[in-house]
Amino acid sequence: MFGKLVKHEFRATRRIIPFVFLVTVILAVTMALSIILHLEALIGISLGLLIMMMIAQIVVTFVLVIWRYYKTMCGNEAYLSFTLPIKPQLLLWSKLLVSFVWVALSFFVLLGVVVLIIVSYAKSTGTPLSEITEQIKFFWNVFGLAGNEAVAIPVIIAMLIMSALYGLVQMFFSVSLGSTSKLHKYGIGGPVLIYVILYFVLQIVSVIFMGLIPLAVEFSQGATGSMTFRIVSRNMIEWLLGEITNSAVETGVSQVGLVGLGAWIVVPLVITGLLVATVRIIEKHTSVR
Amino acid sequence: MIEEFDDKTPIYLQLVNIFKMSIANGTWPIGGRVDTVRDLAIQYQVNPNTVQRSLSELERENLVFSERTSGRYITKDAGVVREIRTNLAAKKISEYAEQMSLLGFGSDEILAMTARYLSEGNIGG
Amino acid sequence: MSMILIENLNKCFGPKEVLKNMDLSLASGQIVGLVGPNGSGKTTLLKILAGLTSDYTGNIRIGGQPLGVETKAMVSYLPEKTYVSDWMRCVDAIDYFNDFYSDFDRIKAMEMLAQLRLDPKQRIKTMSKGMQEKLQLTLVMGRQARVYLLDEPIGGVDPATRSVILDAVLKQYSEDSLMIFATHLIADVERIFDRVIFLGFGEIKLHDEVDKIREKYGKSVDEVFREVFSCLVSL
Repeated sequence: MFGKLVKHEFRATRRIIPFVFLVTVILAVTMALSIILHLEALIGISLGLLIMMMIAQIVVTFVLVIWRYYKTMCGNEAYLSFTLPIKPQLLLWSKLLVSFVWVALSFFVLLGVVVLIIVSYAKSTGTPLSEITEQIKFFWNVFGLAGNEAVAIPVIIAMLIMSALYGLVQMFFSVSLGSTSKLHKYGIGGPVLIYVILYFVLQIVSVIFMGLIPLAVEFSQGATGSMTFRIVSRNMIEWLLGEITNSAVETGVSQVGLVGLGAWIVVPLVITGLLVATVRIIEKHTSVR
Repeated sequence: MIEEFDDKTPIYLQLVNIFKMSIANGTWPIGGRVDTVRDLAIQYQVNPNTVQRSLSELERENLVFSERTSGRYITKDAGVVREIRTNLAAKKISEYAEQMSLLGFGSDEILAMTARYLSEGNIGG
Repeated sequence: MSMILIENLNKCFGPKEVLKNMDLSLASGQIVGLVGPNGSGKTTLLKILAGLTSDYTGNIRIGGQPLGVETKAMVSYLPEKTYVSDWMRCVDAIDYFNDFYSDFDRIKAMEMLAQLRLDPKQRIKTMSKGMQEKLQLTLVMGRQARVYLLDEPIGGVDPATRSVILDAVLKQYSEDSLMIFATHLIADVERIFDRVIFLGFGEIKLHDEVDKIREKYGKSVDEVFREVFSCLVSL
């Protein structure tokens, strides 16, 4: 049954979302061509449009995915969704999976667009690609990531996945909570308000966790000029206070900064918590209008 | 063609009369097969259980009988059919006669008017 | 054994009691009319049975099971609203039902589409309300379900379509299924009901076989209904 739900989610969404990507790709190709063909005038315009479209694509992908969730879980189509012979929470999981796939594809499209622009820039200025990759490697080293790929890459991927889920789960929760019998009367304002409040609250919580949890990434500039980083169990607030009052502990290397990792503990906790809450709402408090 | 039923009496009884008429005038031929309950229900747009009840009533009166595997059949007995026709006719005639006499016509007048109507198509002046 | 068993059902919308202490037992093999004025709780009752509202107290069993995934597989629900996605074509909606319901008969459904003169390739978005209702009727009747819940299937349709819908309901009848037909227009449909339930202000005012009502009162169910409810209203 779950597979069927996923299949139908894709069927329903594949009619619109890919076209948004297509628009971005068209603009990217336009820009790439104008770079390669040295059409100066067009480069400026298409760059502007492309950047706007890239931002729009991110926003629109989320909006379309949430809109679909709202329509099928709260609107008239909910009569269909909730009379299917399935446990209602499967609706959430199938939509989450498909929405995540679209968000991920959206990311890859944007990545591809960036690569396309870089490559066309290289072609137009006659710069060999090897030079570009050298530049990238240089930045990779500067940020101290060289030699740490085994850790860095999975961490970056995990962070990206969690960010996508973080956003989606907050929105799904807001929509589902807004559709419960007590809050239904506020219409679409309900979910919007809930999301705004939730976002605000989570931001504050994240900052608090980032500051207070004694777990941070310490960036240091080594003698070679390249940055290294390591995980330390230090509290960001304490470090900030130290910096301000200039009573920083001497560690022998010139410190550059400390970024608390506490916020990243919040993320998976919140994702789990909101999912549990949403499942509860869907299974127990269904009241389809 | 949706049959109109009157509001006052149970539908199954009204159906019994309708079916009897059909048997009497040959629409339901002697010895012929009766349509299924479902088909009759759709034809007359009534509840299938109501049809079932009316057919059971007809079975009770031996106008219809069930063959275990092949369904229901109208009686083969021509005498029985004749009897229904006569009974139904008697009912109609007595209703007619009563209503005519309520209008103030005597028996001779009723006879004359009826004869003229049947032979000439009108009842005269 | 009853197909639907309701014990002490209570449902409120905030302070308003919509269903009060309802007890009801219905066996299969019948077509039951659920009649009452608008706002009497018919739709709410059907929604609860369909599994769309879990906010009530009382005991409900369908086919011996408490409301849940199993009962949803047994129940075919036709709401008043259009509940299929409007981007779908008729055939997409049929495939959808075919996919999720094991009791769905795709061939029968396609035949019904043809009989109702609906174009399988037409998008629901472009269909009139009447056509959408016919499609949903096809979807609901395309299933061989144990319970059919029909909410005002003939409300607002022309007489020809009404006849088509009533025929479909009669064709669908079987001894193994229970059909509940909610309507406030009794006059033309009482003839297809085995029994009628009068619902007024959330309570069952009358529940009897159609023929028995006629015998008892010497009137049609429609007339009895009017009397029962004008009585209530004037109170």
